[in-house]
Amino acid sequence: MSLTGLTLAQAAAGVAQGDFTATELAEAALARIAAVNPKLNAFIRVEEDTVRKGAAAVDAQRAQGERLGPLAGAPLAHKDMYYRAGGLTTCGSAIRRDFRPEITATVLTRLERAGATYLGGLNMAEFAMGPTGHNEHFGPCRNPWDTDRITGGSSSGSGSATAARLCYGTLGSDTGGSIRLPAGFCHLVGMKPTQTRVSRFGVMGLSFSLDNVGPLTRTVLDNALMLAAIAGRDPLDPTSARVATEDYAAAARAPRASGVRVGVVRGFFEKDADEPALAARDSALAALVSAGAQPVEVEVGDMARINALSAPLTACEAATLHAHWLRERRADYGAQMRARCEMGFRFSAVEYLAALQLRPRIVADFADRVFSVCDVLLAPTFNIATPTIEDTDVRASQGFEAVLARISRCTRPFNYLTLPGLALPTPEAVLGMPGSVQLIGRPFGEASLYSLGAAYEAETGFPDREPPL
Amino acid sequence: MSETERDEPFPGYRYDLAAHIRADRAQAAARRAILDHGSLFDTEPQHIETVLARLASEAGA
Repeated sequence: MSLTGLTLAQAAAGVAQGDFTATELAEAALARIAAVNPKLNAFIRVEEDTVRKGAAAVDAQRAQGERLGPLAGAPLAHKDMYYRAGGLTTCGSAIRRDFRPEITATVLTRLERAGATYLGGLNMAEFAMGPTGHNEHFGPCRNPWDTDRITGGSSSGSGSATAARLCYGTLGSDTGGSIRLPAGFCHLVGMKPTQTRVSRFGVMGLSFSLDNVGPLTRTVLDNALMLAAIAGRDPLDPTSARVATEDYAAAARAPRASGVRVGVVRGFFEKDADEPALAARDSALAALVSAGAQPVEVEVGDMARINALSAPLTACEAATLHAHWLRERRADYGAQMRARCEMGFRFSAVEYLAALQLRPRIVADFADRVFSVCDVLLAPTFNIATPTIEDTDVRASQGFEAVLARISRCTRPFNYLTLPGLALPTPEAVLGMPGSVQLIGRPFGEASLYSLGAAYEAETGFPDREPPL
Repeated sequence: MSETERDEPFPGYRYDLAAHIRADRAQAAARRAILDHGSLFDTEPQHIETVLARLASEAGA
């Protein structure tokens, strides 16, 4: 197997054992990027010097007999919204095309401490607002399974690059589905952790009530290794949770589905669905049952009302963050980003605060009701066939919001509900493209999701599939 | 200012009526959802931390 074909866990283990060097991993990734990225447009910026320097440092550590971190020498790349002091961070925008922050995101510091190296910034929706993978400034990102089709967004490059073996894993961000959607459309594992589980210090904000940082990877263990590196209280982010982290890697190494009650939700998640997407969901459920899980039907209520309440949060918080530039640099925004931000100016303060203050009550009611009858929920990550880039190039044309809402329909409710969601590929494809389900857990129940996800992975063998590049 | 633009929310800032129409729809849906619930007296957004801490402890996290 080529070096780029290894999983993140295998790559790091290989460096630690001396099977190959971190420098060899970095060079293999750079060669793969040079060969494949022109077809995908996954990278906004490749930082060859940075990754070579990082790899040399890891190799030197090993040569000196120092203990290496769990991600030793593995080249990662991230959605281009994680600040690195002195480095470029475009946020997928024209406005920040030349922005060089003075701080470094805590999550990047933690990944580096775990031994990971950094390949560069990945394509994304402008300012992380958009579920398709289009970007009016840097061009659309393409899906390695079919380059005419969308990757999903807003972490478009994260999905494309990881699926295409350009890197071993990535960070995305998820405000309404932006980790889970590209993970789903690109046949990856994507974790949206519990709200506040991961520090957001040094991370571009979109909607501070709903933003989450999390990994996209090819396997469940890889995902757990990355979350283990970044999760936990951060004094630099006073909103980060004080709840103790669990051993996510150990959970992923201990697959367990036997006796786990999987709540199947229908209704809202099946409305206006494309039938093959639901068939793919059913194939995932069958695999979970085959692995020992116990299916139960669960009624979750009207999720459309949840999405209606998340709208003022996203719109008002984004409009507040962008108000100055909307006044001063309006022409530098893409049409869709500008149109969606401007919606935030219309909600009243009372409506915004009501949506925010209702949240504790709704989350408590939902969790108490649902998790008394099941351990995890199973829902499709998306309930449509993967659209083409052309069909979804709607910018701000009439009806664009309906096109976008249909893509993120199944993921958005869980951001308002704060709950962790693990997107996993389905055994059955959706018209030849990857299908995906999300396992939704209790607050701070990420370890349980990894344990169940690992059992599902063993049952389905989904990491064995590779895109036809 | 043209008939398809509004001069708000800031003096001199203009955006088109299509955005207002979209916002009207989202606002109407949010208002209906808010009306599903009773009084918000004695609540505040920060209570979410208490709720999450309780749910985490019940799950053994």
